[in-house]
Amino acid sequence: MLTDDSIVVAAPEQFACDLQADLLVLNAASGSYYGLNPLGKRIWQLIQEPTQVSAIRDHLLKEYEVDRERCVGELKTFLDDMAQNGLIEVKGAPAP
Amino acid sequence: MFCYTAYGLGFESEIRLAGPPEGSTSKDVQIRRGKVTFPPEMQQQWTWATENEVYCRISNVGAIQVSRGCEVVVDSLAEVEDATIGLYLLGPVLGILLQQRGLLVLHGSAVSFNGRVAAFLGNSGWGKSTMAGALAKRGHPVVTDDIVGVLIGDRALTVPGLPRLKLKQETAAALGYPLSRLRPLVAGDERREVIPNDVSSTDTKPLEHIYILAEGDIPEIEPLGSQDAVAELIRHSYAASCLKGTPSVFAHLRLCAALVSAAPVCRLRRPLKLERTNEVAKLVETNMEMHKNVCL
Repeated sequence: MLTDDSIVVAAPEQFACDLQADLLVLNAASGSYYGLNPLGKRIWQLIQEPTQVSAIRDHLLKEYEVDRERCVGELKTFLDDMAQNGLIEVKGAPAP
Repeated sequence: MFCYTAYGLGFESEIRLAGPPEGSTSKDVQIRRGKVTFPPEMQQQWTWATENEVYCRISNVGAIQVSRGCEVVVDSLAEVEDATIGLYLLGPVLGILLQQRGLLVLHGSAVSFNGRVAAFLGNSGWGKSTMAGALAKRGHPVVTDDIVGVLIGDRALTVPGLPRLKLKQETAAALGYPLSRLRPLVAGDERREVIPNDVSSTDTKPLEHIYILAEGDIPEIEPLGSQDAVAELIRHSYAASCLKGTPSVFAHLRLCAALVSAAPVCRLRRPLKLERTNEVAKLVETNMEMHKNVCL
C-alpha cells in the first residue's frame, strides 16, 4: 500500500520519448507502451531518482493549482497504476 | 546482374525483379545468392533480428538474411522460381532494408496532392489500394502502395515507392481501370496488378496527412489525439515484429512519436461500398485542401 512516506522510482529498462505535450513510455521487459498526459509526464520526471510520495505531492501543489486532497488522491491512484504495470518500483519509508 | 531503382535506392541484384524501373545511378543495396546460417538463438522462430541483421525463415522458399540496410543474401530451395523470391524481396525484405536504413516503414498506400502526400494506413483488406486507385483516377498520382517509407528529420518525407496496386478485378473495373492494363499476380491470388501511373519522380515528398482506414455508416474524418495517433502508427508499422527485443524498438518508437508531431493523424470512416468510393475520395480531397489553408 502506497503511503506519503513510500519511496518511488521509475523502474529500470524503461524508454521514454516526448509525444508532443505527452510522454510515451515503453516497458522494455513487457514490450507494452504507456501514454502519460502532461501531469503524468511531470511526475515521471520527478521519479527518475528515488523520491518520497510526499515530496512529489509538494512539487505538484507548488506547480499546479489543485486542491490538496484531490492532488493526494489522484497521485496515489496514478502511482498505484504505474506500480501495477511495472513502470515504477515502490519502497517503504526509510528506517527512522 | 540486374540494376533497379526503387524507394530512392539503387539495387544491384543477381535475381530478376518485376516492377521497379531498370537502371540505377547508385549502388546502395546488393542482392545475391549465398549460404545463410541462422544464429542458434533463433531456434525455430520465423524471424530473428540483431542490431545489424535480420534473418527470415520462409516455408517452402528458404532463408533470407538482410544486413545493415545494404546487403541481402538469398538461400532458396532449388525448385523455387525467381518470381516467387521477387515477391518477398519487394515486400518484407524491402521493408526491413528501409527500417535498417533508419526510415519509419508503414503499411499503407500513399498519394500525392500536388506534391503533398497523404498516406492511408490499414491492415490487408481494409481498402488501402482501393483508396489510392480512386484518388489516382481523380488526378492524384500514387506514390507507393503497401510499403510507405518515411524519412524523419526536420519534417517527414515520403520516399517514392512502386505505384502498383493490388486490386480485385471487380474493384479495378468499378474504379475505371481498363482490363487490358491488369496483370495477374501469383497463382491463386484473385487480385490483379494495376499500374495507375508511372513513378512520377524520384524526389521525396512531404508527408502531410495520415488517414487510418476504418468502416462507418457515413464518410467522415475524425482527428486523433497524440496518444491514439502514435498507437495507430505503431500498429500499422511494417514488419515491426522483427524489432522486438532489439535496440531498434526504441528508435522505432521515437520515429512514430516524431511523425505524430509532423503530420496530423485522422481516422477515415467510410462505408465499404464500391459505389461510394468516389464520395470518400472527394471528402479526402476537401480535407487535404482545408489542411493546406490552415498551414498557410
